[in-house]
Amino acid sequence: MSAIRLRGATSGTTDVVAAAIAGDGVLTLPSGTGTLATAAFVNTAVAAGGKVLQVVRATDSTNRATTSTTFVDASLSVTITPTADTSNILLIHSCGITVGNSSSGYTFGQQQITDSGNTQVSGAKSTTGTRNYTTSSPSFFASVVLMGWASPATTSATTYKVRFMGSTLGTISNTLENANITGQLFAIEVAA
Amino acid sequence: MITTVEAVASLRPNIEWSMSGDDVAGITWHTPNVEPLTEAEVAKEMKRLEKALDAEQATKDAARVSAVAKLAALGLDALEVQAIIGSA
Repeated sequence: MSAIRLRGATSGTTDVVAAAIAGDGVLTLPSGTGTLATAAFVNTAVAAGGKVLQVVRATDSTNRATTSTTFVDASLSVTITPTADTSNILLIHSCGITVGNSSSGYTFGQQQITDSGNTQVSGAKSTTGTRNYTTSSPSFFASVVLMGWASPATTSATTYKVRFMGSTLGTISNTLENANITGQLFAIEVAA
Repeated sequence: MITTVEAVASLRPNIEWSMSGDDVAGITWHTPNVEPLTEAEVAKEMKRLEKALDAEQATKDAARVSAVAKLAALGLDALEVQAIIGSA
């Protein structure tokens, strides 16, 4: 075995050891300054191609209800720190909802996933409802899964959250039934 | 079964609000100048709505029994009544 021994800055040593091979190998170090844990030292050929780099999950087991006709926070968020600024973030939210209407007519509940500035993530909106004109006080239960795709272009911590509302068509209650079906929000970093 | 959400919506119709769990005291009122509700008010409304729901169901049940009796008085047997209303 042959090795190069590096002295530690204060104490100790680090050995760089060659593999036991018959032929000649070449190890090319990347340019720049950093450590092997940083994105600059990740082999892009290995990390590329849509591979999952990390998964962050948040849950909520408390029911949340609103009659708001504009989106309000649903107390469920995740914070993810991308390992590369070229990564995309796949966001998935699942929950059960009960939507009720105190009169008759269109009855809709809506959810969305946004960034911390309340800007909706691409594709991350769901509208679940019924168009029942005749029944008074209609209500229904549904399971909802919505997904979004974000390209934050940063390696800084980024927060995504769930927001919800009733309907702009009338005063309708939308309840996230987290006590029955645990609400989940996933942020999945996908390599570019 | 009447829920807290239904009771709050009944007491404050056409008002926008948000609530976590059954925390009536912690309700956020999005519509301005709304008088907050107390736990007692909501509990009382839940009981009132339950009673109203029971009364509505009792009225429907009585109407069904009456309809079946009238059909029987016209000479329809149980199978014929069941064919019309689904079950006797």
